[in-house]
Order: sequence, then C-alpha cells, then structure tokens
Amino acid sequence: MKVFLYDFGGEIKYPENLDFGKDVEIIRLKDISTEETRRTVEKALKTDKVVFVGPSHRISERFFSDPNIKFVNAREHVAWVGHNPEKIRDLVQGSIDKLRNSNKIENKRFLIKHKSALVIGAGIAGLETARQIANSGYKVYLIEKKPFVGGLVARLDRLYPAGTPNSHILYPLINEVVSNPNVEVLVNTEMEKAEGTVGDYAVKLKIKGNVVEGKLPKKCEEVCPVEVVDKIPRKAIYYQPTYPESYGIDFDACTKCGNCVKVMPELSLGETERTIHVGAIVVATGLKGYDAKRIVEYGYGRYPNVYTKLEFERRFANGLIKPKSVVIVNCAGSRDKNHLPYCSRVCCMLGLKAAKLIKDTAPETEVYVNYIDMRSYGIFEEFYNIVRETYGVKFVQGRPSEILQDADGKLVVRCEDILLDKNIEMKVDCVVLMTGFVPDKESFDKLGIYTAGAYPVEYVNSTYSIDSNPRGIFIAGSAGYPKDVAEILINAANAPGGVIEILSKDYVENKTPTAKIDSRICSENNCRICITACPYGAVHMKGEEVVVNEEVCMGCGICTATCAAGANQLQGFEEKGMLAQIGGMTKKGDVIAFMCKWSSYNAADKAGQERLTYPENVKIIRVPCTGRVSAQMILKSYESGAKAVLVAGCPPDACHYFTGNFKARKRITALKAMLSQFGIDPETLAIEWIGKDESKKFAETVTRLNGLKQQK
Amino acid sequence: MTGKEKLKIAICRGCTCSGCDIAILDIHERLLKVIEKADIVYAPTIMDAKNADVEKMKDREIDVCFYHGAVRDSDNEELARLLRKKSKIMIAFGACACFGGIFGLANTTNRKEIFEEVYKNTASTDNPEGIMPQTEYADKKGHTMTLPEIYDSVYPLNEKVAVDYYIPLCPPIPDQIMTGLAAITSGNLPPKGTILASEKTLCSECERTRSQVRKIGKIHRPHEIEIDQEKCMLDQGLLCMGPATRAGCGTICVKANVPCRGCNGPTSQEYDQGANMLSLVATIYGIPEESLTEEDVKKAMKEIKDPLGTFYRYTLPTSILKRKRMDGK
Repeated sequence: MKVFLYDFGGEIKYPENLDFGKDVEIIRLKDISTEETRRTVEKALKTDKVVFVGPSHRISERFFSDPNIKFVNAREHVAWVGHNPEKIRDLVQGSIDKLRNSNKIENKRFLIKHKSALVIGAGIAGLETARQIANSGYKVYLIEKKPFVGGLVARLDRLYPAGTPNSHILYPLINEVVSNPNVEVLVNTEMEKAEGTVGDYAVKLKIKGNVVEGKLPKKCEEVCPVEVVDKIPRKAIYYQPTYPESYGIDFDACTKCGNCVKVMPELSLGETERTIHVGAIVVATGLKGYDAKRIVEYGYGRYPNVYTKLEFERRFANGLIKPKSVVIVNCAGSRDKNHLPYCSRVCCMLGLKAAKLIKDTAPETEVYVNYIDMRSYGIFEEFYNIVRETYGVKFVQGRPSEILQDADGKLVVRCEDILLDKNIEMKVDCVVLMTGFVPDKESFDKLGIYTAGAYPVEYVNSTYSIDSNPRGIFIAGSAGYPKDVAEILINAANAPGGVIEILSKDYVENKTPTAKIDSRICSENNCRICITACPYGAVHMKGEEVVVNEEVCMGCGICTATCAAGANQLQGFEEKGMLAQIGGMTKKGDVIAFMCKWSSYNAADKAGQERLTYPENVKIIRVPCTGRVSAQMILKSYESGAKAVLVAGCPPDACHYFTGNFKARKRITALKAMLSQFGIDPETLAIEWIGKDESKKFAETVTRLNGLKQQK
Repeated sequence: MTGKEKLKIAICRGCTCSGCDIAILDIHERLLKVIEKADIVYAPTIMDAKNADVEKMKDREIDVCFYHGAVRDSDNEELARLLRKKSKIMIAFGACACFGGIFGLANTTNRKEIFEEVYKNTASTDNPEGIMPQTEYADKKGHTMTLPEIYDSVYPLNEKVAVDYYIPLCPPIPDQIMTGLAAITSGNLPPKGTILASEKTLCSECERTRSQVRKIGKIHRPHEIEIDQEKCMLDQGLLCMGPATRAGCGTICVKANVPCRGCNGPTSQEYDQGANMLSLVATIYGIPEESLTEEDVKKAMKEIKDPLGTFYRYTLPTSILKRKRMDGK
C-alpha cells in the first residue's frame, strides 16, 4: 500500500510521525500536476493499492482518473475548515482499511470491432444522422420500416413558421445520403433483435419484399385491388417522391394477391432475414400520432369531417377538401390524465401552421383555434401574433367538451370559453384534432432503452451522457421527445457525434465502476428486487440470471444497498470495504456524514472554500448517492463509536439517479424506528437534502447533530 | 478419522429449547447408520451423562461435538470450554449456537431488567422483600451454595470458544444433519469456519411466483390476511426474510404458507441480516416514492411492527450492534 501526500505548498498541515504500519509506504509529492507525479502514481498503481491525500475529489480526479485510487480530502474537509491535522490520520486509516477490504476495480474495456453504425428510421433525424456518420467515413446501414424514406416530414406539406415546403429540406438531404457510397439504405426493413455491446452489435434484420429501382410501370398501381387511406387514398403498392425511385409495397395492407408481380416479375413479396454487425446504433424512430379514436367525445372515426392534423394537411394541400369553416383543437388528448399526460411540444405550432395554411390558400375561410395554453416559446410568439392579428384567426381558450354532428352534416364544437366565462358552440364544416405524439416503444424495448413514462429516461433529467458509461446506443430526433424539424436538424449532431467518437477509437473504457452480481449467491431463481430498485433498467434478467448491463449502469449503488444477500456489490463501494472504512476512521464521539458526490459533498467542499467552521469530529464519507447508504453502514458507524450519523443527498426530485435520495429517506425512516429499539436516540440519525451551494446548511446540520448530546 | 475405530460424538446443550436434540432424533432410522460408525459418548438429553465423565476424558478425545443453544450463563460457557478442550471438531449446531437464536432477542434488555420483571414486577409475583437470585449463598451452617451467573447478553458459541463448523436453522433439518455427518464420517471436510449450508438465498429454493415489479403496497402480518399459496410473500406485503436468508431448508415454512423468519442466518456476504432486510423492505415499500411526503414515509414505516424483532429474530447477537446499548445513551 502506498499513501501519497500532497500539501499544496504548505496549505495542508500533516500530523507528525504519520505511520500506518510496516506495509504502508508514505510518499510526499511536491506537485500534483507534473508529468512526473502522474507517472509515479500510475507506476504505484500497477503493483500497489494507492491512497492519495490532498484536495477534494473534484480536483484530484482531474489529475488521476483511475477509480482504484482512494482519495482523501485533507484540504477542504480538514485544513481549510481549521481542523486539527490529526483528523487526517483517521481519514487515511479508514481509506487504507477500505482498500484492504476491496477488490480491484476492473476497467472494463470494449473493443470497437465494427467501424459501422445502424440507424433505425429514415425520417429527417435518421437521414441527417446517417449523413453525418457517412460523411465522416464510416459505413451506415439506414433502415426504414416503411417502403420509402422521409418519415413524417415527407408526409407534411409545409414546415412552420415560414411555411417552407418540406421539399426544401428533404430532397437535397435524401440525395446526399443515398448517393453516399458509405450508406446502405434498406426499406421495408425492421430490426428483429440486437445483441452485443458497444463496438460489437449483431443485429438481425427482417426485410420485406425487394426494391426494383428505376422502373415505374403505372400499371402496377392500377392492378392493385387494395385501397388504403393513408391520410389520403392510395393503393397498397404506391409511389412516394422520396427514395427509392420505385414502387413500394405497404405490407401492412398488401394481401399478396400477386397482381403487381404479374406486371413486374422482378418484384418480390417474400421476406428475407439478414444479420449485420455494427459498432453503434442510433434510434431515430420518431413519433406516431396519438390514436384520435380514443378521444371518444371528439367523434373521430364517427364523423367523416373530423380529421387528425396530418390527414387534414395532406387532404387540404391536395385539394381534396375545401371547408368554409374550421375549428382546430389544440391539445386534443394531451396534458390529460386519461390520454397523454404530457405536452407534445410541437402541436401548438402545428395548429398555427394549419391555420395559416388555410388562410394562405383560402383567406375567406373562418378559422378558430381552441387551446388550453398557447406554447409559442422563443421566436414563435411572433408567428402566433401574425396568425392572430394579420390572418384574423380566432383563438378560443378552452378545451372542447364534445363535438356533435347536426342534421345537415355540420359539426358543433361545444366548449367553455374561459376568457368570456361562458359556454359557446361553434358550428363548422370541419374539425382538425391536434393530437399529441407517442414514441415507438418497440425499438426501445428491443434495445433495452429504459423509459420513464413514454420517453427514454436519459431525457428526463439533465444527466445524460456526462457520467454515463460508453454505450453504443443513441437516440436521435423526436424519438427522445417531440421536436420540430429545425430542432431535429440542429440536435441531430448529438447522436452522430457520439457514434463518430466511438467509431474513431480502437476501444472505449467504462467511466464509472458498475455494480456486479456474485453468481455464487445470486443465480437462477432469485428475488429480483434489485431490478426494481435500478433507476436505469441496467439490472435485468438474462435468461434465468440477474445481470448488470455495464453499458447502462451509472454506478449509483442503489441496487447494492437494496440487495439483502450482499450478492450485488457496486465496485469501489463494496459493503465490505465501506464497513472497514467506517470502522477504521471512526473515533468515539464522531459524527459520520455520508455525502452524495453530486450535491452534498460539494457543499462540504464549499464550506471549506468559505472557511466555515464546524466541529472537528465530523468525518465525511463520499458516496455516489444516498441510495448507496445501507443500514449496515449506519449501524457500523454507531458500533464504531459515532454519536450521530448524517446522510446528505441531492434536493428532492433532483437526485442524479432520480430516486436514490427518496429511497434513502425510506430506509432511514425505517431504521430510525429500529434505532430506538437498540437504545440509540433516533434523533441522532438524520437525512438532509443539501444542495451543492448549501454549505451553511451543511455546517449547521453537523453542528446541530454534534450538539445533540449536550442538549439532553 | 478414517481408521476402523468408531467416531466419538458428543451432543452438548447450552441455552437451548432442546429442539435441536429432537432434530437429531428426527433423522429416524438413519440414526442407526450413524451409530454403526459412531458412538455417542455424551448427550445429556437422550442419555445419562455427567460433566465429570467428560472431565476425565483426554483432550481431543471426542471427535465431534455438536453444541446447540446459545451461551447465556456461566454454566453454558464452562461446558462449552470443557467440550471444546475435549473435542477435535466443534460444531455450532442450530441457530442459537450459530447466531444466538431466539434467545438472542434477550439482548434488547439486560440481567437487571429481566430479574426486576421476573422476580418483582409480574402480576403473579409476591416478593415484598425484593429478594433476587444470587450466584452464591452461604447458609447459617456454613454451607456455600452456588448458582451459575446469568450474563447481561446472549452470545453465539463462537464468542466464547473456537468453532470449526456451523449448521444453522432452527432446528437443523434431517437432510442438513446427514450432509454434515456424511462429511465428517468420510473425513472429507470443507475449510474450517464453513457454514454447512447453501451459499444462495432462500428465494433460490422458493417455488412461488414473483411479480414483475417488486414492490410492497401495504405491510401485513400473517394473521391479518388470507395468504395466497402461489404468490411471493413479499408481493403480498408479508415480511418474508427469504432474500436475506441462506438457503438449505427447502423453504419448509414458506411451503406451509408461513413467511420465512430467517433462522438459517445471513449469507456469506451479509454482515447484518436484520439491517439488510430492513434496507430491502424500505426500498421497495411505497413505490413510486416520488409522490410520498416525509410524513407519508414516517406513517408507512410505522406499519413495520417491531422491526428489531422481525428482522433480527435469530441473529441479534451476531449483528453489527449485537445488543441494545447498556447505558441507554
């Protein structure tokens, strides 16, 4: 064991005669930042366990990234708060004991075997992602479930706010992508399953039919007996002016009568399978409209002149309908507990776009927009003003209660106008429902993308990709959450950037030590409780065994503190090591503070920066999350002589790992009830939310806990 | 032990309910096979035995001593030390010898409090002079009589003497006993300190079905609900100790529709069975926790009646804290 001491040019005073036994060598460093220091520490790591005593982890980690180093914060937590240097002796002893009882953390390395990527979904996001990856020199497989690329945007007419026709963006993008030799486009293709890890995924594809490019005999379409209403009427075999330049078969509708094959014998209606190997996967599966039939009171499907937003846009643009009066219902089924509980972000603007489109084409049309709140954020306020003031569209605040049809076929929209405070009825030719969007959950499930509600969990808090382990699976475009076309094109750099970063390397390494499950204790038939505890779906069943997905695991340790059998251990924070550290550093009468590394630990650092004072016998143990703090660790603190224990974590709802702090609160509340049975005052155990700036709260809390005994 | 001579076995009792003696008899006719290979030289429950006879034996004369029961008083300790000296192999037999067992719950109190309760406070006690048991009493004729000293705490066997192997459960089941005996008679013994039971948790043996999302909505005590025979106990809100308990019993209690109470003790990676079970139950209780207020959590956790007694039913003396604080601080 080697203990490195760094004193910041005399800022940290170390105790005299430091001695931790024969097998612990103490080395004093002159400078933290030199190449020589780095090499010395790295060399020591090869043969020894290493404790580094110096500044806060926040600084030390910048110089030494190996997770096997145990840092001791002698600056912020001792020197700067004016504590007796003797405290360092205890802190180092705890770290030595922890390392003696911990396993070496294996830096998991993933080889990037395949310098290629799979992009699922050839909508605007998938196309842009494929374009960027392919232009960086990597092979891209771009697969599309539908017979043509282009996705939702290909089926729109105009883009808001300016009303730009979709062709402005779509056509050049498609041409650039499909002409790139690095891109292989596969339409009518779905992902069956994907296996493997970053750098090495095997993906099984199911391909329906074939593509006969450059041949477009109109007769194919004419002989097809299947009529489909896809926003507008078409046949099961059809042409869409995107890519490929051929007839495409809608296999959901196709009855396989074979009439088209008689016209064009090269066509195939069969199904083939293919396995591809890629280093990374991008999910750009976009969105589907919410099923408007489920909003029964709006009569969609019952009344022919109630349309969804896309249906209306396609039909109106193609001149199939010419209503004299229209009600556009924003938030149809959105922000509604019975339907979609969330806001789909873009529908308000789609509503304005539809209103403007109608007025542009037929200015005499009466247009009403029903809305709950108009979410015209950023530059869109101006768009809203134009539609309202210049175009004379009438806005009614209130959610329609029902839509009825009267005897002459007109629609009656009943609604409370909140601003006028009265019930009104609008009689119109046609109603357009601005339904919300739902993501394509199927591909999320197949790839093990964990969702919170409907959308991938990464988008729920703001911690995505900062400390997450290298994962070869990315999300692009509206699959993450609803976005408009401009946002997609701008944000699309995120996924290809990540893919290119991975593919450009020979291997990637895990950033965060992950949990491991001891199969001697936990195998086959097991309690599976850690699966429920994991906020990321990283702990999952593989066959009959519970395993940790090392790509997804964020290293919070909530599962470790949940596993009652001790089978699940977070590397670097194994229970055995934690208990040894607590035992090694605690003196009688200490206050032990378990501080989460994201918030509270930084507050304690800040207390040092501000030279606040708090009792010397407060000793801090850094944990990834309060959710890692097990009841064993708290009891061990008391057993080792602690008179009080503080568990401090992120502010409520702001836990880096979503609910780690809430889980900790439940455990501590339960433990408090039991502590009194052990004859320990439950008031000496506290859980507090201490945000990173709340240094004063930290100092006050530990001072209070330290003083508890005297008050009694 | 591989020679032709018969093994010498002792069955020694500490602070015990004697269920472990009965457990040995429960191996029924297989006992005959044991006797073919072994002589029982000391077993006070089933045959006449005097401690003086043991004292006369040579050191390490007994091959295997099965010690059952916890160490509660000086008599238990004395006997444990004697048998340890005379035996080659000392086995902590049953939950009490291994972990302190049910008797271990006495660590929530101490000698003084127990004496006060038993000899003064109970309704049926009439003790106006407040006479308390003494370890020594000299009568007027000059005779001194002694009684063993009851300790403040209950100890597992290994706190007082070195233990070679452990066979937990309350009481050990015949199969487990036979496995242990087979290992001893064959001379094919695992490393010292081994617990002669499975490494896995009880859940690995359990045939009940578990829900996909593991959560506890409301905690029940077994008498409060009609227990579903097929579903996991925890899913039904019953505090089954399975996830924190070593396998090996074949889930006999759970099969009888009774939640596991943890008598096979913790796994090798658990340092405190009760604390771990508490962590687990609290984690999956009241999901989703985001919507719970602090008061909700407090109220909910009150539903766990007597957490110490529930989670440490057999293992309090081997837990991290071992007992209730004596000074009351």
